[in-house]
Amino acid sequence: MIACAPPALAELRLLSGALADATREQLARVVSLIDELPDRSGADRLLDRARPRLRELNLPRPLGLTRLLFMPLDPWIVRPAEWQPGGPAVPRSALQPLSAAVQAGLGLEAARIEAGCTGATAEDLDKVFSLGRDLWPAAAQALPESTPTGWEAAGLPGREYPALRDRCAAAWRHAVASWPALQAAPYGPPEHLARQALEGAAAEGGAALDTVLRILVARASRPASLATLAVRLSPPGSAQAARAAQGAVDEYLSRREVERPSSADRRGQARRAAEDALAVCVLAEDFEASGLLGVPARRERLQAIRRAADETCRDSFAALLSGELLGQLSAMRGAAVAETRAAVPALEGTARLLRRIESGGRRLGGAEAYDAALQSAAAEVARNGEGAGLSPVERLRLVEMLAGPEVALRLVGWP
Amino acid sequence: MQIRPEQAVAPSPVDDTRPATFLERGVVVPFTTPMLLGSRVRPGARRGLEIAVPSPAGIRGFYVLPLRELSDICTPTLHDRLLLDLIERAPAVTPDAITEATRQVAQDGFAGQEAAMAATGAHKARAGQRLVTNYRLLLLLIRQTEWPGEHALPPERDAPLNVQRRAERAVARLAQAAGLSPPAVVTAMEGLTEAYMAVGFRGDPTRARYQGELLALEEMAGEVARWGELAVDPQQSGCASLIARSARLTVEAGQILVERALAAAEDFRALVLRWTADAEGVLRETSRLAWLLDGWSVMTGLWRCADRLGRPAAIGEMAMMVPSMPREVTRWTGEATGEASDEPHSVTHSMRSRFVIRMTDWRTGRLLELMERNEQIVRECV
Repeated sequence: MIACAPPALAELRLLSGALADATREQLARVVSLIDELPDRSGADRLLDRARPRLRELNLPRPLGLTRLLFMPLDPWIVRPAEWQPGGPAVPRSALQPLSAAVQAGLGLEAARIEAGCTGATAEDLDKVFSLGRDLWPAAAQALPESTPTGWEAAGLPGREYPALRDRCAAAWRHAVASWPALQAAPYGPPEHLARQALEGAAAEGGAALDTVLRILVARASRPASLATLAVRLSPPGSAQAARAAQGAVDEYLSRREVERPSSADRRGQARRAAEDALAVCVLAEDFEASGLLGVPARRERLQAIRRAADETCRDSFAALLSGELLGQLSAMRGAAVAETRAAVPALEGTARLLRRIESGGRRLGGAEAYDAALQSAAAEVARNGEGAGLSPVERLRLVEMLAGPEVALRLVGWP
Repeated sequence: MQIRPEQAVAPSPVDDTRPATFLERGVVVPFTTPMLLGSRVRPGARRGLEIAVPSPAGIRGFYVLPLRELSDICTPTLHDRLLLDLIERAPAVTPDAITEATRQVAQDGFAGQEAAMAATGAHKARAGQRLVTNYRLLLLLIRQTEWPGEHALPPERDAPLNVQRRAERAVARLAQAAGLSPPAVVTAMEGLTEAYMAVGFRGDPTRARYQGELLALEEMAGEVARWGELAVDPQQSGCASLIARSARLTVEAGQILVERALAAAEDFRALVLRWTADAEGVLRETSRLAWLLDGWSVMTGLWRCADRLGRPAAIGEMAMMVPSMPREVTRWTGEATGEASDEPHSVTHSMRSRFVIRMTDWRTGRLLELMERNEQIVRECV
């Protein structure tokens, strides 16, 4: 068994910083070691700075009772340093004591579910749902009235326990109904799933609606539709529901405003920028179609999100075009045939990525600039592609990807 | 340009809108233009070819228009333009003709490097399979014309020169017994090689194309069914069930046809006689598997690439493309006659009408990603 003595703060910072720059394999090894720890609360702090990269690397995470328990709350789990007492989020440091309390409350049933987790990963969503169906509703009843063991030792004030307990219990109570919508949240979620998720919580009102709605909204691509639906499903004229809906979307926008798509390399950054641009377009449409933009501050926030996405797209596009396409093309002059052949898939990947950024980015602004840059890049490929060793079909395909088939036929022609 | 919703031709019973024949259903072309994936080409009602394009609205149904007018509704990729050109020049619309055209365009590099390599590999594999098939037919002929105990060694274990001698004698014996000239037997064997190349023989199921495709389809049906059982969204679960059920029906029909073709090869003398009397009839029977399996390569390709854009999206797309089983299949399989035997196919056909999938990806900036995915599917279809 691996022991983990509490490291000194400076040491922890150093280790945490080193992990942020670690390779995929190194990170995977550290994560698997931490996953084996009986109590990972101290070690979790190590991963704090590496968490954005962990999400990007998509490493498989072994399923255990604590992870299974908190998966329905995942969008609202924050680092202890980010947690604001009294706020809607759950600090990561609370997971261990809460999970221990649930295990103590459920006894043999918890052991049975934990045994079911053996060998599974959190990515196995069917397994998660099948075990979660047993765990979550039972956990909602299992938390004690008084502060559980280890609460203060985790650095949590005792006065915060009742609110956090109620929030977790509400999320678990409605987790089975809201799980499908949470999984489909990046696609809206679709109305039939959103309705299924919110009906029970809306009927219960109070902390239940607030918690379930905030969790779903955090992941949704159409948060305004969700908030509007929550109000529709609540008793007519419910001020509580209106407050929950407004609070959820405001929280969403303020989080979204400070988020920036980031990645380790230029391609990753471009990919994230393209995805972000599309997401922002959907977000803007969603808010425009709702009645939630009457508040000037909210409208300004949305505009700021659009502007930031637009800038990121333009920057990524310019960097990718000069560095990975045109620069690469001129570097290929005089290269051996085998080298050129090997470079073609990367060039095509870049051309496709440029179009992805353009198709999302142009909806945020600067359509003419994107068009002009792509036309000019296509002309450059047509003009200099042969010198770079590209065959006529390779040139045709690249120009087609950048500017469409008609331009390809005009600039290159059939071989 | 004239676009008209697809009309069922002479349905029977009255409410059965399934196509009467496989030719009427058309042949799937692995286009790379996202809007065209799953489209079927068939002879037009008057003249020329027509194309049935899955409804761009993402609801059940097709738009049918003359092939030449395709560019009126979309901008086909260069790959698709070349493919359409070859299809228009092909003497007939058959699954084999479409595969050949797809292979040719892919080999020229119009679906990317990997598709070109796959097409070249498939071309070589086909040449190898022709040799193997011809050799296995020869072995079969030798075994069936030699007397028991005539040779100590079975032909497959004999030296090549001896096998050649034994084969010549076998051809002569068969020619004499069947009242044919030896060259006529050799010609028949060459024809039967073409006919059986994709069907294969007993004991060698993996190298022959159709047997391999049936196995892949069965495997996919199992995976999709399992995925559907665990899907939390009832619509996705329904789509998965439709796909799995249709795939299994196709596999069952395919197994009947394979079994029949394999059984026919067991009496080689009778098969040669049939060939000399009606070569087209034999070819028609062995090619039924190609018609039956047509379109499923695109489906298995979609399933294999499903992680690119998400399994729910792939399931939705696949559900829209599930091929309707033509009524002709009952005559082909001969399992039973009359309306009762059509029931499973009618059920999947009506299930299909229950789903409305919004295919928004190609309208929301993922066009290039879909084209790349479709090029990956082309590799499955060469």
